[in-house]
Amino acid sequence: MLSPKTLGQLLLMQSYVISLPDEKSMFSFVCHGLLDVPGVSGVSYFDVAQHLNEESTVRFPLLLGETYRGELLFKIKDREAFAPYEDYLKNFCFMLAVILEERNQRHQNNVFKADLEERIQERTSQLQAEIAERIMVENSLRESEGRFRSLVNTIPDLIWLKDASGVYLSCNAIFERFFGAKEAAIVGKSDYDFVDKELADFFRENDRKAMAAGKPTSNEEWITFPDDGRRTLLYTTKTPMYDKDGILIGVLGVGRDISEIKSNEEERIKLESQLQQIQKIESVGRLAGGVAHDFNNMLGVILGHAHLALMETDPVQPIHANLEEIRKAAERSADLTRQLLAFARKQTIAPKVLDLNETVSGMLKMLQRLIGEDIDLTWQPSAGLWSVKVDPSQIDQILANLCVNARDSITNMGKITIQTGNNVIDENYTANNMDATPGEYVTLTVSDNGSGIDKETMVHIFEPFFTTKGIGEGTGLGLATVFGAVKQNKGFINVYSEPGKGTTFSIYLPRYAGNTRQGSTDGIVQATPRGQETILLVEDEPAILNMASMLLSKQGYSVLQANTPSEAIRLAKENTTGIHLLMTDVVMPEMNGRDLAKDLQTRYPQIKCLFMSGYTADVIAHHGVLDDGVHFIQKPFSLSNMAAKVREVLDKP
Amino acid sequence: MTHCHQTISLGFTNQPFPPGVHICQIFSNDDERQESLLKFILSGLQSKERTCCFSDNATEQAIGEFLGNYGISHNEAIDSGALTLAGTRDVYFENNCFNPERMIGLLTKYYDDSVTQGYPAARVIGEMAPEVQHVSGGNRLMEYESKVSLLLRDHPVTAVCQYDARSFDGAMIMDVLKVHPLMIVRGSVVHNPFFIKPEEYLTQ
Repeated sequence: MLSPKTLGQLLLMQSYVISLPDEKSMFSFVCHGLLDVPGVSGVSYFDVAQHLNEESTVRFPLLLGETYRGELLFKIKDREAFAPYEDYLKNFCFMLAVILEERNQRHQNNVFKADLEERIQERTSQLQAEIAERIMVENSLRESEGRFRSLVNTIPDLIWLKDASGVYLSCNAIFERFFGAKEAAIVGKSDYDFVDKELADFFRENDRKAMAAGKPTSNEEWITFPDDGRRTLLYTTKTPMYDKDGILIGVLGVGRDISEIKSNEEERIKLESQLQQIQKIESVGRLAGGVAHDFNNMLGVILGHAHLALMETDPVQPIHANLEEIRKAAERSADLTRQLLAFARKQTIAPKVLDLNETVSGMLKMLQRLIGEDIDLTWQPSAGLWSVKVDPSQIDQILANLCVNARDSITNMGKITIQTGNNVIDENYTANNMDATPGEYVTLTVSDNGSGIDKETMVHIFEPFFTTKGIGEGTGLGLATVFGAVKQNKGFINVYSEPGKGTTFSIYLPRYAGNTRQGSTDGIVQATPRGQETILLVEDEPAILNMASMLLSKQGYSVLQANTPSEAIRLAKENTTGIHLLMTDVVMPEMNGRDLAKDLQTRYPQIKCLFMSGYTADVIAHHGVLDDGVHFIQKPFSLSNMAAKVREVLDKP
Repeated sequence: MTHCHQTISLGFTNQPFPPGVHICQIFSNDDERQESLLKFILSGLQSKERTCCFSDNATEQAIGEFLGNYGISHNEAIDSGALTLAGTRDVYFENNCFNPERMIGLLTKYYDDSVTQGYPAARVIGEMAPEVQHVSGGNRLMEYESKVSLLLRDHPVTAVCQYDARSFDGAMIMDVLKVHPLMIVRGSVVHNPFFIKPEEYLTQ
């Protein structure tokens, strides 16, 4: 007879056993509960099969198919009471086996799940680390790319990258400006999309050259920016690009604006050329000046003796004409040496404050005669002209030479224009004209509509002895003289010429800063004036000493000759009647002329002094400009010039 | 308090029961424990019953939030005496000792006071702590539970005893079943076939 209570207990145990946490608790629960089954006196669980000897013990294996999950051993005290429940207990044990299998499966699942979760967690951590690293790398790459992009866009050069077929892959901001398009619109296109075919062909050819050479190649190319039309000379370097396997992938181009560099280079070459020319002219000038000095001495002797011989011969005698030719030739030679000295800035000058308009006006008749009637001479004086301080004779030299050259450049009829003006020269001008300095200048301009001067000739026009005229027609000293005279007055010259149209010479003379105009001290040279005063003549060159002594004596003067300063001092001491004029050479072995003059004037304050020299050196003049109160006569001198100068000095208060 | 034909709701089941039932709940997860406890308290307060909870695992905050969702202020309930919250160890193990007589006395007084104060019924839910297996007097737990069944016949406090299957040995769980006439199986309250009447159990 089955007990509903026992069956209910079995059923309830099935429900409860599932919720127990472990097998130990589960079998503890089951074994304790099964004691209520009728006929049972004890229940035990074993996980391995037991050997049973007692008949009162019944084994209930926990089997699920072939899977053995241990067994329950029942001790039976009343087999009859127990018998009806055996099948239920078998079912109960099967249920336990199922529960155990489920638990085991669940446990394995949990272990597997835990392992899986752990692996997922581990992999997730790895992935997170990888993602973090990737993000970091990407950020780093982004920053690096940003820096690179900024760098490329900051560089003031055009930078671009093309593939091997000439299609743009990238470019910088300057390049965008050049093409007048954004990078996005440039990439994927070629030069043929942006510039004319000829220029695109040129670019493409240079790309191919670089790729063929396998190394950077460079060339210069002019480009025009479309936005402002600015033309720029680019120095372009194209470098073939390869991938990591060494396969050609395209060309990297860098274009640098070298317009300014090129311009500076050309300017530098121009200035260097100017400097070389100036140095060349300076050295020739020094040479010419040195030669002219010695030459002057000899010409002085020739001229002096020619004068003496002329004075002592009857003009009707045939020899008189011969002597006259000798004198003329000597004077022309003296003119040449004066021009050389002028060019070498060794001529002695006595600057005066001048109004160039007045000076030039006074020369116009002479100039018109010089250039002839077929040429129209136009004079355009500027109103309010600033003053200059220049030796008037140098203005004569300058204008005469320029007008003669202008005349010679005009074939038949023509026009020469002389202008004056005020000009201010700034640093912009002087930057390109190294012989000019900033300041206020008075310009004296001589223009002609003659044949003009070509570029090659222009380089040499101020060189002494350079001439385009035929043999015997020009000395090559005209413009050299002008150059020397202008430079001696701290001025400069600007020449503009167009072959076939004419030439303009602009002479820039510094504005005189003082306000006081000096009165003209030019005296009219009297024809061979005479006198009776005593002159102490000092000259270390015996021929000149004798010649000058004779000339002076001829004019009525008493002459004391000394060929050294010490001799002069001795003679002065011995002379009791008094000496009126010391006429002395400047450069002498013992003592220079200035020191001698000082010495004698200290002893005899009333004595006057006239210096004579082939050039001035700096003994009596600073850079050729005479100090005030100093009298000078340039060797060689003619009788009339000398007589006039001697008289002028003696007559000075 | 009348207790002739009255039935009450336990909250966690729709089955009506007369007051004074003694039920055990063997649970093996925290949600199962928490759901039964909160619903039991809620239904008690909603029925104006005096309600008491002894648990170390149900916080006052959790209970307050749950009740608040149903418009009941747990603070007001506590202040009025309708709700009593206390820890298991504080109530059961005074002086680190488990004393069934003292506990029976407390339960008796709780019921009597409820009657005096006019509550229609009284209910208690308590979770036994596993330390009971180690404290002095802890071996009298089943005796206590059996005596509770006896007490409830005259003092019909509705009592739910919670046991965590994860904290007690299987054999002890089986013993717990034997001293509770009703048990909760998968959300349903059923008569317990293992139950041994207190007179019989206490004789054993």
